Amino acid sequence: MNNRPTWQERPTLFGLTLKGFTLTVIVLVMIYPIYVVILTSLSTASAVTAAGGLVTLPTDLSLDAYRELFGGGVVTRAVLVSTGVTLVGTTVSLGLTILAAYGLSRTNSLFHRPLLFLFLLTFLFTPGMIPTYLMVRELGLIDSYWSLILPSAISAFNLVVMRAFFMNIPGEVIDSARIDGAGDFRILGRIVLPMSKGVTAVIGLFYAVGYWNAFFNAVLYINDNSKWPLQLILRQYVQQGMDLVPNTRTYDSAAGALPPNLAIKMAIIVVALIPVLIIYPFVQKHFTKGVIIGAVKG
Amino acid sequence: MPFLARLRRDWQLLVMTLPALGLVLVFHYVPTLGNVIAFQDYTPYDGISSSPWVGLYNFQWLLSDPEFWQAIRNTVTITTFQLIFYFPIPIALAILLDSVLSRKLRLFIQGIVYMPHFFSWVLVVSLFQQILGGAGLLAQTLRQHGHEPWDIMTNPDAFIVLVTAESVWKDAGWGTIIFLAALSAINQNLYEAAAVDGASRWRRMWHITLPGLRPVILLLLILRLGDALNVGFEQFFLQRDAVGSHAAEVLDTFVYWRTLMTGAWSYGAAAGLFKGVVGLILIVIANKVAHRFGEQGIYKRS
Amino acid sequence: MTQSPTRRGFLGLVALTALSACAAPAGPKPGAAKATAAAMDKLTALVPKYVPLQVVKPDITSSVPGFGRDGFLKYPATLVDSITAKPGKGGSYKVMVPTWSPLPPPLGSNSYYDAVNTDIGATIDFNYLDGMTIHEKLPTLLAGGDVADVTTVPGWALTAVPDYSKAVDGLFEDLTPYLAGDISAKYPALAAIPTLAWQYSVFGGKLKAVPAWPTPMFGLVLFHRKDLWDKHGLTAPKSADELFEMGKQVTDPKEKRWAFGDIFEIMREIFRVPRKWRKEGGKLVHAYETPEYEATVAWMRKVVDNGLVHPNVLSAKQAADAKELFKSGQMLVTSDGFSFWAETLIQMSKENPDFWMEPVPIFGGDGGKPEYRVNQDPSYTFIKKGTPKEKIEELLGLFNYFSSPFGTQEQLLFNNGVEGKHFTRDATGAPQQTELGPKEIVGSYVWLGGRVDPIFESQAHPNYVQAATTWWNSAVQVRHQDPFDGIRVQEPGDFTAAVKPFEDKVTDIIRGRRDVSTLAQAIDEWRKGGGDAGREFYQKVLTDNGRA
Repeated sequence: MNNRPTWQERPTLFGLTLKGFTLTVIVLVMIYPIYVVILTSLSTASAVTAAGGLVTLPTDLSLDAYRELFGGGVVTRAVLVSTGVTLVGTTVSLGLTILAAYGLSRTNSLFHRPLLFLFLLTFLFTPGMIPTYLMVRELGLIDSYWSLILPSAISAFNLVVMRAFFMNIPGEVIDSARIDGAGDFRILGRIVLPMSKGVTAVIGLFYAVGYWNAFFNAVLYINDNSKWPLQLILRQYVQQGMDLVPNTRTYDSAAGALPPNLAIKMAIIVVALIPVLIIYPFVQKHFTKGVIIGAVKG
Repeated sequence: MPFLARLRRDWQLLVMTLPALGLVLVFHYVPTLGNVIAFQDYTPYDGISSSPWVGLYNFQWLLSDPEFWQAIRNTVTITTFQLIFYFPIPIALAILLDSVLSRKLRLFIQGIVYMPHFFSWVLVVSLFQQILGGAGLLAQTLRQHGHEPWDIMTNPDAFIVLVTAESVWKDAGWGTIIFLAALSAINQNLYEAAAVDGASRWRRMWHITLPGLRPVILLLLILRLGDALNVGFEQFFLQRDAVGSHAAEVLDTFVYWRTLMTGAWSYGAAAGLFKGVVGLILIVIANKVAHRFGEQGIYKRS
Repeated sequence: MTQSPTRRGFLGLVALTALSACAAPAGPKPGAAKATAAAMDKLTALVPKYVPLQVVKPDITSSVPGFGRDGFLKYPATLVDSITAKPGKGGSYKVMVPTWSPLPPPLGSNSYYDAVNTDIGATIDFNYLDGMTIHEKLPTLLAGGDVADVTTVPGWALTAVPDYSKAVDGLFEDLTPYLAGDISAKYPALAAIPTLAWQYSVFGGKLKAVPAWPTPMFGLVLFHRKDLWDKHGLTAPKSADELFEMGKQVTDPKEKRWAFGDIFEIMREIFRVPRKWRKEGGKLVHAYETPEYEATVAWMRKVVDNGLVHPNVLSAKQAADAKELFKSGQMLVTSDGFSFWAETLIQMSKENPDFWMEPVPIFGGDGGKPEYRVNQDPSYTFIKKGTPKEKIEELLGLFNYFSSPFGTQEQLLFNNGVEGKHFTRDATGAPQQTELGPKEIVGSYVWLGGRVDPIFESQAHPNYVQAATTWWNSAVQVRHQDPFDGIRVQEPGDFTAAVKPFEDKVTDIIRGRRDVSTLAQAIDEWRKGGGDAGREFYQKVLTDNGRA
């Protein structure tokens, strides 16, 4: 496969070797721990015990940890909850962020600076947990799925990054559209967004990952267990404080020895990775080069 | 331009900003007003309305506490160190990845490098322990060959390097994603034209790639400065005893011990406000410096 | 727009810094003034009279009433049906309890809930609080007042909420009129809950809760791998010095074997350091100020200096899986909760029949006696304020049902579920969980009431019950006597705040980053930083309670 553009010179052997070497080292340094994590998640209790923790050599493999995680009756519902919250949340967040980022991208527009500061300050000053809780409660959102979305729907970081990309689009393109009488909604939809697929995909990914892995909002705002998202349900399997509740399973826990804590912890990490593994290729697809070409020439 | 004319021109932009602004006002600003407890001697069940006002009392205590300044010193040192040794890495890595021509190979490598971002700090620390710790791979190998191993993970002097290495390993790959998006937005015609004019690979990188990335790099740099007093909590919390509070106490861990563990809510709020104000000052200064160099920064001077 | 507001702000900050950096303001440190203490001694009249209830005779009888535990070598052959009439009146309640287990299927698709609800004649619908985040959730829950009909919280999580006593007073019913005095005729099982647990359930002069898990617990136990200990030809240490010498013998880094985990806390008990205070000649001496504390620190330093502590424990305590290191034999001595014993045996006896762990036999740091600390702060079950009288009585009847002790049919049902469905009997007649058992049953009804449970986990290991009962009943005899037993203390904030800076310095000493001789200076700084203020406060508490 040769993707090299025709104008680009052939790489030198030295350059190619150096690059190959660097990348190989990076990949090895990264892939080894990932291998350890996945292997541990697939190990039995005795394998984890023999290793005294993380497993580095495959000895005794099993799917016990995953079976334990997904064997309970409550997980299916939680997968639906998490998927729904992630889809709706990402749509809401991405949509509002795009609108606001574009709304603030014209440096001479009305109120542009104070508004931008209002968003920036949220990045610097964080509200306390209890006041936020009381606000969510005041709005009647306790035990509502919206409490998992609205309080953290806007990330100032994402907004500012997106705005920077919008501002990078050559002003002439937008000005000429304005002269042609196009409104800002039209400009955003017809010109700016098609030229910003890369950053849109990235910010969408950031939001989606955030929603998928979030559990703390649910801890605070969702009392009804049937509405818990997947990450919170999964976290229950990592029992750290067993000694605080002595003998909850008194007398009879022998029947099925609990699967090893560590394998389950690792399996939960693997589960957190899954959506990113699924989404990332689509994100990367939008990193296609040359989308700007036609526009700038005009 | 008169106000009404500007309004007529920009009303669509304002409408676009409104929904996000509304959410931020409701879920951020109103609860943030709760931070006035920094100026009170607050107890939760008296509430804000009946807790006594004490002016700058909490700030005075905070700023006269030597342990607070020790935590600030550590935090600032670590931030500065990481700005130099961490911040450029995702950029370099992104440029390197971007130069990989095979799409499949690129996808594979990118997929590998961003994964550690999803590991918890506990796991990252134990993975490092597995390799570098006193019972880790390195130490055991040295012992087998009759050498006394040097325990990297409990050395206060090496701590800053250790935490930076951990951060790089965990987050540099994930950090490339924004830069990859920025790279893809660079006009490819510029490269072609430069190549035709005989510019070498390195010259093209210097004159096209880096200038193309500059706005994003600067933006992230400024945001990072605003975040200068946040270096993370868990990473330091976990490794605090290993190297001692003198090396590992950062602002967030200090606030945790001094306020959350003792119920000194007002004191904690004061520390939070302090952090925010410092961040704001740094952002404003950084932005000003950016303007001086003819850059946009986050907001434009008007 | 100009930049002036920012500049003004910046100058203001500089001025503020200059103003305050020179000297700390006069007056107490923030958060210093909100301390309270409730006296136990005046509260005896508020709690139920203790009337013991024994339904089945245990094989091993506990030695110290209220602290010891009975042991059952095998499951009782016949169970007592202690409550014949249905305690429920058809009421329906939402109940919130903490859990550290995976969630069970909800009401409607959970046959265990159905069976118990049918037997009690009421509908209880559980919602669970995530145990790992409960200390973060609880302050918001109490501040918002969104409590369920019945709420159970662990004592340690409740007392971590600032001003919890006000919250308890505002949100939950006063149970004093229902439970004070002799209730043994109406609620025999509740009357059998030890008095101390009831006394801790008094908040602000009112009996507010029914204690759950009233069994006193050892916070930490010093366990060792007895099997490996024997293999190295070692015996039971008689003093800390002997333990150190033995640790040296078993440590071999080349073999990836170290003697100790993080045992500083438990060694303090073995050296007889008091939990917080000790009365000496009418004056309070803090744990940090005792010679025993200094001896413990010096001993730990020696242990670390000699490389006897597993390196992972030193390089990141929470990241090292101490339990796994202990099970794998990389670490021979560790400290953990008492239940770690049975849990580990249950897992390990299948994998390694020779595996045997037990507490290091009782010894004192100097060769004398230790002072093991027993934790008596139970969990509390509260009823929401505004619940009508007849509903409260129905609930108390249910709590009485769920306090039925080991050996009753009721206990078998709410603890183990339905025979044939959730459990089957093994050859000795003991219930063994089926596959469905652990899926549907997590700690739920067991929170609604309290029992002092006997030791019975015979399937952990044939020797377990005997060994555990023997150790427990002798360990409670050398328990630490705290001058503040039974007094609920909310201590001054600056006293609490002085702890961490001091303990950081001690950690530095133990890890070899500071000299042992600097301990005296650290103690001095602790006294000035809040220690002496705390002493005054506690001294007053003693005087107020007539114990000075």
